[in-house]
Amino acid sequence: MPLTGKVAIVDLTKGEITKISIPEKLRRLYLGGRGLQAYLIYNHLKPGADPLSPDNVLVVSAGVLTGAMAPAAARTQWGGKSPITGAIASSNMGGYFGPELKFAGFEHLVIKGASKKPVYLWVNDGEIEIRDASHLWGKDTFETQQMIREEYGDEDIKIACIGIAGENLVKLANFRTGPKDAAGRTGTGCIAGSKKLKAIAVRGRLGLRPAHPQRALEYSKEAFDKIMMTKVAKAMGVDGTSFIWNVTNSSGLLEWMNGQTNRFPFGDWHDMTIERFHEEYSLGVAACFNCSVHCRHQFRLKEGPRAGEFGEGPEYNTQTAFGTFGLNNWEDMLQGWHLANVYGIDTTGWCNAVRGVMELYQRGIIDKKVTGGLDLSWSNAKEITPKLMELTAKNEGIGAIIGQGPLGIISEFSKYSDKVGYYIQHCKGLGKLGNVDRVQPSFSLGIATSTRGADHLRSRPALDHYNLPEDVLEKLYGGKVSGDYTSYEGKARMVRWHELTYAVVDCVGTCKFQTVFFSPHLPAYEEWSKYLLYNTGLEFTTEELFEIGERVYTLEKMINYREAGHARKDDYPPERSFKEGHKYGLEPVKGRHLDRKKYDKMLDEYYELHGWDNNGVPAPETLKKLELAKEPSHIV
Amino acid sequence: MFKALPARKQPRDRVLRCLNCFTRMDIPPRADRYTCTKCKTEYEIAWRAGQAKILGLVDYFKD
Amino acid sequence: MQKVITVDYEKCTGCRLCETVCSLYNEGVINSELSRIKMIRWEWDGLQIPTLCQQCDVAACMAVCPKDAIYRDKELGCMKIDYRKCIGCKLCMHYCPFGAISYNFEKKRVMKCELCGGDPMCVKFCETKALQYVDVSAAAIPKKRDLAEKVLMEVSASEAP
Repeated sequence: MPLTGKVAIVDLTKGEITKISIPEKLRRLYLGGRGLQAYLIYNHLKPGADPLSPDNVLVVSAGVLTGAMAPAAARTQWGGKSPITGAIASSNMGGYFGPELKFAGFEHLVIKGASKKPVYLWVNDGEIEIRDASHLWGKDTFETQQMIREEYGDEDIKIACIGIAGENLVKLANFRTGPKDAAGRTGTGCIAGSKKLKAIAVRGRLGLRPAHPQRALEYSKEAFDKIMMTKVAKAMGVDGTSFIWNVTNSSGLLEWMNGQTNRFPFGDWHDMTIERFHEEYSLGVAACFNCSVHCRHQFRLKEGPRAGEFGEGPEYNTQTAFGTFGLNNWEDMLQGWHLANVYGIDTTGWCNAVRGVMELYQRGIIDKKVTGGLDLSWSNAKEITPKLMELTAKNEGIGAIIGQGPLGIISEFSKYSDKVGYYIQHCKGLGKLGNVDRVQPSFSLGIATSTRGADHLRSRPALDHYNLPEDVLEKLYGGKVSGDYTSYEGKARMVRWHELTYAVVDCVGTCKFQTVFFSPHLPAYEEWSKYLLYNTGLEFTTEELFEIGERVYTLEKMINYREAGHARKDDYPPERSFKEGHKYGLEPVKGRHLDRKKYDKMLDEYYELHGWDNNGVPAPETLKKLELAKEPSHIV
Repeated sequence: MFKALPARKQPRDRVLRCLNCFTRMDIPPRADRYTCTKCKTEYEIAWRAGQAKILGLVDYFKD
Repeated sequence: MQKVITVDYEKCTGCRLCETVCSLYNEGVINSELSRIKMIRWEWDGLQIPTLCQQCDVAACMAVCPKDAIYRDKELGCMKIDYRKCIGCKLCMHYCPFGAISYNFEKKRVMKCELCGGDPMCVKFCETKALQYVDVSAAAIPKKRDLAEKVLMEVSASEAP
């Protein structure tokens, strides 16, 4: 088959590399990308492994169409066993790394064991070498990429690397490529640090050969035109993901001070808007591989030790992360954001941890003795952000606790109060975003049940925000779903549909933003089937793709159950979401919170639709139906 | 002023939905404010290359 | 009237679609090494500049070819390679001042932009119109228009209450 990316098993202990072609049978079951990654993790991860031990695996998976002829075919999935949750590590990254990996002849890298000394992988035109990285150890994510390119004299090498956070085994450490792309969440960088893997450098000149080049070109042009005719393409192309912020802020759907208020408490909200960013910072917009929407911003810092340095971003998640614990202007938010990218730290997770710790400080549960003399008041955020970031990256002082994420913070500080667990906002050990999901049953369910921990990207069921007619929703979801985002009706069905659909997108490797994530007019199953047919020559019906989504999601659930015993008890939003309604907000938001009985009923429906038992564990009949009963199968 | 402004005009570039009651709002060109005809929520309006967008609420959650 | 591909690098977002579709259309493979248009990127400065054959009026490639294998297409005005005559000496590659001719290491022959027979793929897929295919006499007009628009924005901004 034309897309011939191989799986490479890289054993860092033995220094051995094995290359395996992907049989069509596995393509039909798991497609590629995140799907095949789940399969590889389940089969290659030693059950019960310590995430920081050589028994853990780090899997890098480009999508089956990453690098191919399709709109925004740029994505790469990173995974393994997460040091921060003890369940599946899973994070998706854009930019140019994935396509280059495919051009070099590989779709998946399964990295096992551990090296005694710092190494990096050199992946080049079908060959992989393990090379010495001692000269790179200690360098930040910008320097590492620049140094490798200079060493080889080739600016077109794509590099994914960890910063000092990953080296120091900070659980919030991530993998980074370019100025800002990241496999941000679940501690992928920490896994690499434990293997002394500093970077993966790729250069590919083999290219990709679509099965039907002319048809791929023609059909892609149609798809591009359709995408660019949507309102959201323009919104994203000009304002990036930050176009969402104005809407959520104006509804009361954003939270500050760790979820204590939903009205911006730190000054004038106008200073936080992307419009203000455009006035003061924007140098323009750039794009990922093959993307016509170009949603990433470009800026230069104005102040501080890195003044003048070029950075990419911000994203919506920057505002809802760095904008939530006291910073009230773009310079300060960008300083924090940029530093996190330099050190290689998960921005969402770090800000969630800092918010939590600051609320504990506000309530007097911890004090300056515990923080090492640092004043963690909300009003002192500007002063302490660079310091806290540095301490986190170096795994020192209060930074060492922040860097462990929610479970580490709770474990460390529960000795001071039994309420600590209530204040730290997480699901399964992954920190929540600074968004008000407690009024939205669909979001709440999706975030709480996400297989990687509190995360909206697994499902982001936002179509009930657009006031779409209910017959449109019914047609899409195959059953009745309320168009009111505060309603519980049909949301179990809605969330499951989104979970499976995004699992498929993550297998395909095209950008999730160009899907129902933002608009029902954007590419979906029909388009993906055509992209797949023209690029790979393989035919997949909508039903077959949907079943692949089900298989992948269920397999991730199996990994979580095997490794961390995750079941129903772990599929709930934090207590605060059930107990407290916000003071402010528009009518749909004000005063609302989750109702436990209704949530439980929704969860029951959700499990039933998935074919899992009432404890949230995949039932034997479901495993059989999805051909998961014989895992681990070790076909590859 | 930045560089890559998408050039295409899109249909319904001046149509927004009230965030409070979801009524359709037809924003006049170059308006910087708009009041929802149904629930009277008042919005600050901004523009991106001819496309209307909500900037924020005029009365941002007064006590 | 001859048409040319104009480049406004300020509009380039670095997406590489031009390279993808050029190599796919002309060589049947997606490979930026086999693309006749090349985007040069300064990643840490956020700059990207597409570079391609300028279809020179006085073409060094044509002048230096020992076998007269490079000729000007009468209709399109672009320089094309006659592979029946080409011996692969690569002098054209060395003498082009823009590096617009490169070597296809798979097919073992030089290659250059030939405007996709009159419907350039790179222009077709360039969303931001950093690449446009326009009448050579009107080639500078988009830039003049951009400047005029910038002036207008500044004027109306300064006149705002």
